[in-house]
Amino acid sequence: MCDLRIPFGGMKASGIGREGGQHAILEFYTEPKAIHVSLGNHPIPQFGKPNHKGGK
Amino acid sequence: MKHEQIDDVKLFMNGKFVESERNAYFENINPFTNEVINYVAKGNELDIENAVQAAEEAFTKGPWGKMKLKERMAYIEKIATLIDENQEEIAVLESLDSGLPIKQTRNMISRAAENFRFYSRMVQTKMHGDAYQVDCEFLNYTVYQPLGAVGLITPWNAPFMLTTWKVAPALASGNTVILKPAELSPLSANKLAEIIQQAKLPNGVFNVVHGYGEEAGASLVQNEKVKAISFTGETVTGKTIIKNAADSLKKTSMELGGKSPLIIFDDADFERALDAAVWGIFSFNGERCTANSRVFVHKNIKQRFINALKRRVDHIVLGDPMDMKTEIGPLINREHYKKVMEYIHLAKEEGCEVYQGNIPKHLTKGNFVPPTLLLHAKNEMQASQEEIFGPVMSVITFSEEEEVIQMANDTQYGLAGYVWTNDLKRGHRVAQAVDSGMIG
Repeated sequence: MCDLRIPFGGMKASGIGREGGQHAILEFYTEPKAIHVSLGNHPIPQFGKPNHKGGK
Repeated sequence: MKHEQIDDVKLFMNGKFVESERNAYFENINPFTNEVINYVAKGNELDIENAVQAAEEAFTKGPWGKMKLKERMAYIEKIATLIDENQEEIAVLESLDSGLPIKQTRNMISRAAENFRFYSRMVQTKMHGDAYQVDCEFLNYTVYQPLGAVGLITPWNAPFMLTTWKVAPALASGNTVILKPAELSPLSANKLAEIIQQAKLPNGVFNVVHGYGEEAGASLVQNEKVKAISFTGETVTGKTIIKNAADSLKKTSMELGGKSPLIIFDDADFERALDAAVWGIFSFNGERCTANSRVFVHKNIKQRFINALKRRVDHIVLGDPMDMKTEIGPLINREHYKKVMEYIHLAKEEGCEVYQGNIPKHLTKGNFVPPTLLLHAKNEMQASQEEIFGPVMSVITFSEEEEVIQMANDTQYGLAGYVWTNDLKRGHRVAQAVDSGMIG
């Protein structure tokens, strides 16, 4: 662990996952959350609405 | 520095040092004298529940996750400063508790302080998401959020360094922590709790529950409020943890055993390869997961290398871990000592020539195993396949590159690997071919 930036960990029976460097932060001690922002009026299927394209 | 009794060790939770719920203790034994250093509060499922509750409340209701980054990093950097200020005291505690030579623990403690500074920088620069634009319709993005209360289960072989290597990123990224230190080396973990108390981190952000793996450790793994377990230790324990973590779908990170190969080709820089091979297995008393416990020597330099290894082993200094001249100290406890001795005995039965250094006569009480070479070893022998976790090196001969790669990979483990050659192409080729997480 002389270089704190490297992913530290093993293959096979030596382990699963990597800590160390940004790997510890981004891959283990946090979780990504994806946030979707609609910038316009994108089409949304209109179930149950008379005459909508998906019906009949 | 003397091997004296020191204050008993308590649990640390919600900002306070407390007794265990059942008021139970276990003995902490000095590996050099085999006498009791002190008594350690023995936590069980009740103490884990208390600590988890404190950590969860600190995460959901406390200021830790919500405060400004600069403010949180000021706490992290304060911890680093306090570790530096207490470096000598921590190094002495660590050597007293683990038998690791003081010269090595001093280095480990300064690296421990750096763990906190490093993760302060990392979180400030790397903990950010990405943006994904979809034409003019969407702008999607990611943010990285801390998990919550996380459990850290740490080993006895380099306690303070490995503990801080987990605690620093966990806290810096905004989690709260329940630490379950190895029962064989609890002292420096409590010193970290003192430092964190002194740094005035909000209550419940950092908690320590001492105890045995089967009780405290297992309860931590099973607790539904604990979001992740980071474990460093034996492969068998790691498998049990993953199984038990499945019920609550916990994230786990496993740093387990090794039987790492060090390969020396006949064109290698002989003296430097020798230094590396000797340091890699005999430092930390041989109790290191990345130790090069299998050394593969090319047949052309085999005899010269073995002679050189023997001379080194003859002169390696065994002694009091508190002595700056000591290169190998006593193993962690009597049980582990016996396990290592059994492997040496087994190697003899399997046909190895066992060559060992001498234990000075005055060292009668400690768990001393002299530096040991298993000569004429074969890769398939049990002593070359199982992790011994002591100052014991299998020396195996090879003649072809293909052959040595095959032998290096013929093991259940794949942690580290080391290649010594001056042939640039061969060096990279072998590094790519050896199955290990890290290779140098």
